[in-house]
Amino acid sequence: MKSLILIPSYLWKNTFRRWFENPTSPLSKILVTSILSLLALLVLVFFAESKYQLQKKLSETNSLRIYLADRILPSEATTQLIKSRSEEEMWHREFPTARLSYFRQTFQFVQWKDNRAVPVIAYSSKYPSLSIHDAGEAPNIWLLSTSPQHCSPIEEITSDRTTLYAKPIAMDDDMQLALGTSSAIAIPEEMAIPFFTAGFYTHIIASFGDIDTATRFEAATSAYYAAERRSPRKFNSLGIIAEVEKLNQLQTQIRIGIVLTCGLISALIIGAIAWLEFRQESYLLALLRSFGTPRFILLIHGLCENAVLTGLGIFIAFKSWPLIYNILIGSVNGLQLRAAEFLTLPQLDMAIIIAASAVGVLLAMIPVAVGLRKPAGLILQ
Amino acid sequence: MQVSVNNLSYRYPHAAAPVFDGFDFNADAGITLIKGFSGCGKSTLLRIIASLIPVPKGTVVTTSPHGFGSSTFLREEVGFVFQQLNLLPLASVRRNILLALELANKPSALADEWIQALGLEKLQHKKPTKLSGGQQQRAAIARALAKQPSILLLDEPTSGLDHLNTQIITQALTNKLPKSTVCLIATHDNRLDPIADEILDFNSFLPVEEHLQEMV
Repeated sequence: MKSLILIPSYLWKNTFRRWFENPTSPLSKILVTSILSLLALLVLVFFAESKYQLQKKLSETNSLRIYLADRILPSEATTQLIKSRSEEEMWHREFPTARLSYFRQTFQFVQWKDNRAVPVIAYSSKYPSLSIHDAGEAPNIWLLSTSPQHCSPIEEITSDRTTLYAKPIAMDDDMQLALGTSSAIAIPEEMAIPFFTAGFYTHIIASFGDIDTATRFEAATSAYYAAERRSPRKFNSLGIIAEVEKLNQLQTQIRIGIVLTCGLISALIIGAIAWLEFRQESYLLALLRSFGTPRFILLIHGLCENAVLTGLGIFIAFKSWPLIYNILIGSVNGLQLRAAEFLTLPQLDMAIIIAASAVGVLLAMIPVAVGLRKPAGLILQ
Repeated sequence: MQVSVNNLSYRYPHAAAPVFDGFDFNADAGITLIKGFSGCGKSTLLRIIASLIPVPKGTVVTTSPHGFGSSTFLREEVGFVFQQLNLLPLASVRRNILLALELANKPSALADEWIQALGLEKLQHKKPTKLSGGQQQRAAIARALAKQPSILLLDEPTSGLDHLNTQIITQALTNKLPKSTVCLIATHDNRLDPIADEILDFNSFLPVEEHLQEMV
């Protein structure tokens, strides 16, 4: 219908005349939107960059590790021993890209060198570094030590019932962290089965290549052990994963807050300006309504007018944020954030800015929609 | 076309007294003049019939196939000439008329016919601000008449006009208005009496304000 072109074209002609005669009104709308969008962008970019820096630190220090130590009492030792093996299979299946190491620690201690009590751990083929042995020979009994160079080629280990002879081998950092000691005896799991009936610890050392898998593992193990009503000791070396998780939650809250706050502020300011303009134009709009122009055409024109101006404001914000960002990070000493040239604005954050402005524009039309309900005959002379 | 107003009661917001209280009125095809003292409700009646003012009590019934008060009713059935004329200021005379025709789904060729009928050939490309009062009046009437409305409502169409302009308007109403059109003219101008099929005089049944009577 040609009227759908004629009426809007007249309205736009009127709009441009109004903007030309009184530029403060459209400029105000552009300015409000660009300032709000800029502030929101800077906050969102700062969060995204902080998250990136934390994740980078995690990768660089190779600290994407999670340690689990589950204590099994004698009353449940037999069932849990069988179950723990299937759990190992399960974690391997669920997280094939992770490097998972398992060993069990008995509640036994043995004597070594000057009656030093050292814990006894049992290893299986799932701890590759301990499983190596010459072909045809039995699996080794190891003396794990942080200083194996100070040990004899074969060390004598005594317990209440027997004497063992162990080969010294360096204790890796993970195991040292898991056990909390500088030395331990590692025996093949088949030898340790009689000791398991008195209870044991199941240790899992999980290493990851990326934060997302680590976070998934953290969540999966928490859920699994909660369902099993077990509370294993769990820790990671630096606690950065928890910080990243906190940052994720805060980022989500900030994003929601930005949509609501920026949307509300722009709705109030743009709505106030739109209402003033509507009062100026109410006579013309009533006249067009007296010709039979549907209200929705007038409302859509108002919406498009505000959308064009806020779109311009967002465009200015998107183009100017790198400059403002670089000035800000340059002026604060100690911030080791990347310059804006190296940043890519997340698409979700761009969508959030646009969504916030759209919310503002829609809410701003409420007073205009209410005003259009006034009968044209009460306005026209 | 027929227009019936039944049991109309209307009071302006914040007004002390109602403009109409149980008013009944029937208008058949033809020209009806509505006369009365200022403020008696002539313009209000026209606006109510045009559905520009909602009616809280009473009904307005027409023989139009379109629902009374709908956008289609306003676009296609009603032609209104306001007291303040209300031409679109940024559009030329011709474009004002074309807009009304397009909204009413009528052919654009009718614009030329009515521009000629109202003597606006040399003025059709001018904006309303460049026209005299009489010329604007003719343009507003051309815009209302061009879409061939079933209900034509004119509020003081010859107010302040000279004899020549008035004659152009009365000739257009007499010769070009379709016989089936209900034409209601609110006016004080006795020069329109000869073209009227009926005259509704509010003075005959509405009380004049006391302070006006004392001044006479």
